[in-house]
Amino acid sequence: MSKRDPTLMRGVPELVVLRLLAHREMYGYEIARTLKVVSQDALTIGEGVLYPALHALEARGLLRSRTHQVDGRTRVYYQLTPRGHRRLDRLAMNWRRMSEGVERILGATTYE
Amino acid sequence: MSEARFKRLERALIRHGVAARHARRAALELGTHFHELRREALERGEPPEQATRTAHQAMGTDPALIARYAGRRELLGWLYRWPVAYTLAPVASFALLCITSMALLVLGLAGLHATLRSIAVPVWVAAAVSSTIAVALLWVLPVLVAAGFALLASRRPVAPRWLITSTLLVCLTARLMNAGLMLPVAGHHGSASLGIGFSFSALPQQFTYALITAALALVPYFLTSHRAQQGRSPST
Repeated sequence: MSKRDPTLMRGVPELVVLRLLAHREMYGYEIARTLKVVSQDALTIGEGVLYPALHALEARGLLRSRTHQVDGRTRVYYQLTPRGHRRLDRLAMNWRRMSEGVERILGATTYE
Repeated sequence: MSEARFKRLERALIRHGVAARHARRAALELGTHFHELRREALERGEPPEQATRTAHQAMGTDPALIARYAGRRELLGWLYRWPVAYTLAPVASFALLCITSMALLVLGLAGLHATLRSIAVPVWVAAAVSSTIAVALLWVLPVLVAAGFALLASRRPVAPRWLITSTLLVCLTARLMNAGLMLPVAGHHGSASLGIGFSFSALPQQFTYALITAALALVPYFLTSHRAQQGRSPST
């Protein structure tokens, strides 16, 4: 997630990656591309962030992976584990609560 | 050319402490990612050389990629996460090798017991075998084990303090140990012994010997590190 306030973006790569993979299994490039398209360029994850994050999520048991050969190249596909689904539910709930709070503050005309 | 870059990156990741399996996977995934980015650029109409350059630029620099991987503790190898284990592993390996070697010798000699008694091994031969085994177990083996771990460390980001401590521990353990294997000779049964102990009066001498063997064991490490440093320094 480049050129954005790192404090605000903390935890966002994990949340969005888990959300994308909750839908179906994907490989790294596909995740980066889908994220860019779905967020209409609002969010991009660089390779340097995406792959270490995927490895770390797998090491924590939130993802599992399998390799698949396509046109002579090896793709590593990731999918959510049951633990990953629970983590996604928790992160999504926290994110919604936080964003609703920020929305209320931004939309308020008075702060009494 | 791109394959060479990712192979180089894999080695660099391992040097920076990333576990080998993560480094291998990183090289594989980044290689595939690069290939996809290049294909994307070609589809946009870029000529092949330009497409390769575009893909390399989009991937970012190797130091930046390495920093991202090495910055995640869970992706680091156990040596890097628990460097103290590096101090204990050589000692444990040495002890295990000693016990295994002695057990194998005893088992082998038990099998040959009848033959050895029938050929009446001369006392001087039995004494020479005993001395050779003691030298091999207590002098040669610790140096080989310590040197082996030291060479392994030269390819990993293990701080020299852990390495020197582990080498000293292996060599000191060996100096505090005693081992003997006596073949059955005329009128006597054979015997095997392996033990550890110390006396305060002998400690200074044992420590000096440990220092000498540790220095010997560290020679290949320092030579390898020196050569690697020369290889990395820019040519004039």
